[in-house]
Amino acid sequence: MRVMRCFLFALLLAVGFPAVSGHAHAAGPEAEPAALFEKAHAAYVAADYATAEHVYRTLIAQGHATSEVWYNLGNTLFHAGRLGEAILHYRRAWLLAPRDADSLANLNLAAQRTGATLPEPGWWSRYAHEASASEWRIILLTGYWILLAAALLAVIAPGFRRFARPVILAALFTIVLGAAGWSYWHAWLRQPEAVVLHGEQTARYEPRTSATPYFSLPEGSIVRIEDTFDAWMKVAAGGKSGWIERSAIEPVYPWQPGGMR
Amino acid sequence: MQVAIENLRRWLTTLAVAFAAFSATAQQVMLDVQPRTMRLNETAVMKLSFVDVPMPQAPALPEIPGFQVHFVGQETQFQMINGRQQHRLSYNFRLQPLATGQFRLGPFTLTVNGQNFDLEPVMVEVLPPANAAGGDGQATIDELVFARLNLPRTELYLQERFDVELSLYYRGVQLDRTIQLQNLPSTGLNLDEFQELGGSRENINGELYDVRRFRMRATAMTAGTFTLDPMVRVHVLVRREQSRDPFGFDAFFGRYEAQPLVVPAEPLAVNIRPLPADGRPGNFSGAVGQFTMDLQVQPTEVTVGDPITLTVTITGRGNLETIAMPAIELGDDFRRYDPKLIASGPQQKVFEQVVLPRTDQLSAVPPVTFTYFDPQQAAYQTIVRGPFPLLVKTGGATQPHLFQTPTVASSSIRQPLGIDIIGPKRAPESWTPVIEPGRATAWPSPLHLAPVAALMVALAVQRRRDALDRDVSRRRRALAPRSARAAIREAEAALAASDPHAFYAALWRAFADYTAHRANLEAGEVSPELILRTFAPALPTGDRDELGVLLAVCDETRFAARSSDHPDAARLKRHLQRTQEWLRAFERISVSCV
Repeated sequence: MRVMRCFLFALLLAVGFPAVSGHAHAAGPEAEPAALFEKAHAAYVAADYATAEHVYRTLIAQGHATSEVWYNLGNTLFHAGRLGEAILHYRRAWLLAPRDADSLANLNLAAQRTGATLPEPGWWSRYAHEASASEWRIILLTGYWILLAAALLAVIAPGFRRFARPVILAALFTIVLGAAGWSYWHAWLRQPEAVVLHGEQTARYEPRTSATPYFSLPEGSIVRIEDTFDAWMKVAAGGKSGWIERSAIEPVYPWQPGGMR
Repeated sequence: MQVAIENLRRWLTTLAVAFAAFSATAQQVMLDVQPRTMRLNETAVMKLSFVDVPMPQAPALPEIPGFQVHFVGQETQFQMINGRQQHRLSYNFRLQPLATGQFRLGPFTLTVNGQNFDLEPVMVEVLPPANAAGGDGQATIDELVFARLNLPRTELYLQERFDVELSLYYRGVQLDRTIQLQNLPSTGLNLDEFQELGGSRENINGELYDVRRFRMRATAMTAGTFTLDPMVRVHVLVRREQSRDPFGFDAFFGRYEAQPLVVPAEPLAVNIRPLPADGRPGNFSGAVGQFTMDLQVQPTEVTVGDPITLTVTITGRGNLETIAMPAIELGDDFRRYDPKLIASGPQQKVFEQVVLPRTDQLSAVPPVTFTYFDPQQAAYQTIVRGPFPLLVKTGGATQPHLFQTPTVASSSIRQPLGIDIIGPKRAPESWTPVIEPGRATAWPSPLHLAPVAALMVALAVQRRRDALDRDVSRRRRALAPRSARAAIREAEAALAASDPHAFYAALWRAFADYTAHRANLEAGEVSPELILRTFAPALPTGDRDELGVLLAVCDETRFAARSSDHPDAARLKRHLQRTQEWLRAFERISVSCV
């Protein structure tokens, strides 16, 4: 029984572990981010978008980059007329909460205003977008722990063996489900998205300013980063690939070097 | 009935005023009645739907002469369209007719938040009850179920696309949902899958029929005369006459059975004519139908060698899938890339062609010509777009002006999505640190290896337990130290109680139990000689003698009478200590080597 208690404790600890593991910024007192959020919201309501933006960015810099903060920052920038940056932050909100219809709706509206094209997800992407990367990971780990717990119980408690098979099959199914979703996001992060921040940009055949223009990207266009070379990035959009200056775009994934602004 | 319409109009106007109090943006209001043809003893449902209108209160209908109106309930529907949530609220009313005749409801104009909505008029026909109309007790199956074929024209041209409509009429019988079309022509016509358009009711010769309509898209592939003589295979649901099972288990499998019925449709002859050779333009490439063409050229001010993109959009009905990029005579003054099909839909194709001027002597992009055959006009039509003025500069570093390529995706997201963004969100319930999705790996902690380790330990323990269960001598070998320790504890207790008799008895049990388990013997079979024979050869010479003395003391004390002499505590302690040392030494001695 002591072994069982230890195992259950470890199970609870590990399933809860993903919520507190990984890279996390130091959190301040509970009241501080809430107060900052309210302050930013008040500034937003008062149409003081400069203050609202500053406070939301302070929250992000403190490590409270929740989907709500990204979304509200997107709204602030939308009203400030900076549609490219608004699209960037809506996409970041979507990255953390892909089922949130509000961020997707505002993203579409902002893209409609700028004339930007948005990537069309296939059936596989639509499946993976049902949950965030963290959620898929929790599903995967939950299946893993249930699988091993069931196997352990089957070994140490012979009376459990008749229940073990369905539990193990369910756990394996959960693992496959979680691994599929998580692997999608893992691949997504290896070839990350970026957003054209300001004005219409021209993608060129080669990474130099005198190269022949290939196609144009309106403000707010979401592109895939394929390669980098000095101050240039090779991006893909609408089935075409071209080189664009690195300063014109910003990666959607905010934690990579140069990603946070 | 006119009064009824006026009352309804007033009610709708009142409802509009009530809705004006709401500030939300109204999108659409619709009025529908189903079915629109019914008998006097039947009812219809009138549905008033508000799409993206703020939640109104449940409306109360006024008296409508000719109909009894009862509120049935409301439905709410949420839909995501292009990422935008659409809210549809519908109020349903049951219309019970009180008189026969044709009734026209509408048209109405509904004002919501200052915005006017025109509601299309709805015609409702009320027939006398079935018995009053003469009844159908003597009707044949051909009168109860029949099919009709409908074509827009029977004189068609090669490569012409047209719709074939089939209507299935039935009354007084029940059909299941399955339907098959048979006897379709296998040559001459290319028929797509048929699709059901929806149901309705029709009054035919005073009888009310349920109607299911189907449509097929067809293409004329070969010239000649073809007869469309389809057979519709349906299943009529017939009540079982009696149970075939004396125990009544048939009831579990339904009281109806489906009997197949083949319903012929009246044949239609179609004459497909070849495309006329007279007047056929040289650039005709096989397009048949009705089309329009739009052409965009951007930019129109370029430097020599800069790309100019021609975007050709062909829209219309016809054999769109066979249409290629229209011809353009560019000559040698332009370098050209292959045209690309960049978007394709059921009624539209978009081509893109990039050309680069080779010289600054150009002043225009040549015209683009598209020729198609219009079967309705029975004539070839030619659409010409251009020429487009062009300014070509020599050299320089002018920035070329490109344009965004139109794609299917972009057209879909440019649909109206709303007039403003959705408002800000509330603060999260708790401010826990955010996980960085990319940094966290699937196995972020050695903690996740703990269950694997626990499982391996459990498996090892289980395996050892199984092995001991199978091998008695091995199990007893494992029990030997434990049994000796139990006896040693008794000896310690006896020493504390200054009871040498019990002390030596416990020491003897320690040796005897240990040896019995090691040698897989009964405890009674163990003697001091056996112990010495088993273990003493592996001990140092001095220890052998001392062990023999101790075993002799144990033997003597066990069988001697209890003495009242004060025991020598130091001697007992030494014997206990030596016993423990020897037992530890015995553990390292292999019994088989004795």
